[in-house]
Amino acid sequence: MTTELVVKATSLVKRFEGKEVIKDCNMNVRKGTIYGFLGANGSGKTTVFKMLLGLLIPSAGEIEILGNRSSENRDKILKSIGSIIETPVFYEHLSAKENLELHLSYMGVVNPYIENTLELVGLNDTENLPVSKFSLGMRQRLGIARAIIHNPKLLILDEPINGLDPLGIREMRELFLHLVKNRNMTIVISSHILSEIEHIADNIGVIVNGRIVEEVSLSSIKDQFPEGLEDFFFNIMSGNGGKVNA
Amino acid sequence: MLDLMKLELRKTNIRTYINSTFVIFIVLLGFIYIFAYMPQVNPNDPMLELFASYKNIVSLFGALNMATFCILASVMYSRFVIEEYTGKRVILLFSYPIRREKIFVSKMIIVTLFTIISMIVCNILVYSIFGLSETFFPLVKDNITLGVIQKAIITTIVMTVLAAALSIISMAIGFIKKSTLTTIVSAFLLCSIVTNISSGTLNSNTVAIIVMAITILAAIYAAKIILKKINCMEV
Ligand SMILES: Nc1ncnc2c1ncn2[C@@H]1O[C@H](COP(=O)(O)OP(=O)(O)OP(=O)(O)O)[C@@H](O)[C@H]1O
Ligand SMILES: [Mg+2]
Repeated sequence: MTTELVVKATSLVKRFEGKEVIKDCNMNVRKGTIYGFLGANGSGKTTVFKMLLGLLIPSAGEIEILGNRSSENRDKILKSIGSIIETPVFYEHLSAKENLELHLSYMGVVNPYIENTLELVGLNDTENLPVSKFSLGMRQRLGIARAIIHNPKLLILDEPINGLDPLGIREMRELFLHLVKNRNMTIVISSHILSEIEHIADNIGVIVNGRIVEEVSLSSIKDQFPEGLEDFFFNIMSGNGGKVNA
Repeated sequence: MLDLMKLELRKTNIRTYINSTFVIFIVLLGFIYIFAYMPQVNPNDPMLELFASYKNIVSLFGALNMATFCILASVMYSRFVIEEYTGKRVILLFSYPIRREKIFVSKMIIVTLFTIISMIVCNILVYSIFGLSETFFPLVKDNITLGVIQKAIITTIVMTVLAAALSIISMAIGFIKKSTLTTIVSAFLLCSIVTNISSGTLNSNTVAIIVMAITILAAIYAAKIILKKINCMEV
């Protein structure tokens, strides 16, 4: 089994005005897997993602993405990442296709199959409709399209299924699995919808108060908590540590 | 850099600003005729003598025209810079594998070039139309001499540079305050100050050049501060 790491964060610390929000975090994401990142509101998920993307500079610690140190290889790393951070923003007066074209130009990637990607996320019939007329779920779908269209090796998705209808959630679940299987992507995904993570993730990381307290495979969780991820999660949250013997 | 500028133009609707320039052109054209007509409103008012010479009209027109375009430029900066770097959009902008300062500089070049070109075109048109109509149906009791033409050219150049530079300074102020309103208000205030200084010295080229030099230096300094801020900005 390959142990090649796509994300390797060591002893990450992030302070905002002296307040330590991320404390001594270690994160390891193996190539070709889906990593479900769980944590309560304000526990630091978005902050960790932003550090992976170089949007925030770690106060201490180190991040390696695809073998490149993030402090030195910003552009190279960004080119191989697709991301959604919180609610995605677009150029409102442009259509879905035009937004994606712009994105590709900025990424420096040529992809003539924009229509295909739009179809993958179920937006193929929006034609020239400007994004300002999109519904919340349509925006989220376009956000996902934008994250994957330049064929990144790593997807960082911060609550990507917010606002999607049940069918949409299922479609995206299938899409994520497809991307990992057929397009060699690795996905780090955060979500409060535990059942969703349970469906797709290979590994689970749990962050509590800025510290990743658990990093285990889903299968070992299932052994220990046959009722599912929810039990495991609440077990950790209630302070039992939720130790799983992996 | 050219590619980045093209992308900027695709993101923003530049037509709006071209239309605004056209409206400004019509209004400025109206004003130059109002200036020229002033002395006839009340021929006994010595204050209005100010408008009886082409050189003074050129100076006044130059100041008005500078202020208008500087404010238009600050509106553009609000859109191209302030809105992009203060809202959530900046997350997207900073997720691209392009050096941050390059994107910022491309935005500055667009606004600066737009200001310079639109101002010069507008001035050439206004002066040509006004000059032509004055040759046939003069309103001003003065002659269009080589000196007047020279004055018009120098004023246009100085005012264009001032408008471009002052708008950069107001952009920097707005950037630090994270506010589009501050950007536009600063442009307004800076223009009032600078036009007051230059109108106090209507016919001195030396003063104009000194004011221009100081403004350019201040603009470069302001741009440098913002570049530095952008480079270490966390979002
Ligand atoms: N720019 C900032 N300045 C100061 N504090 C911040 C900043 N960004 C985040 N924080 C703090 O860091 C903590 C973690 O925030 P973060 O957004 O990472 O949480 P999260 O796990 O993504 O939460 P949610 O599930 O609500 O999205 C919070 O306490 C928040 O107040
Ligand atoms: Mg979050």
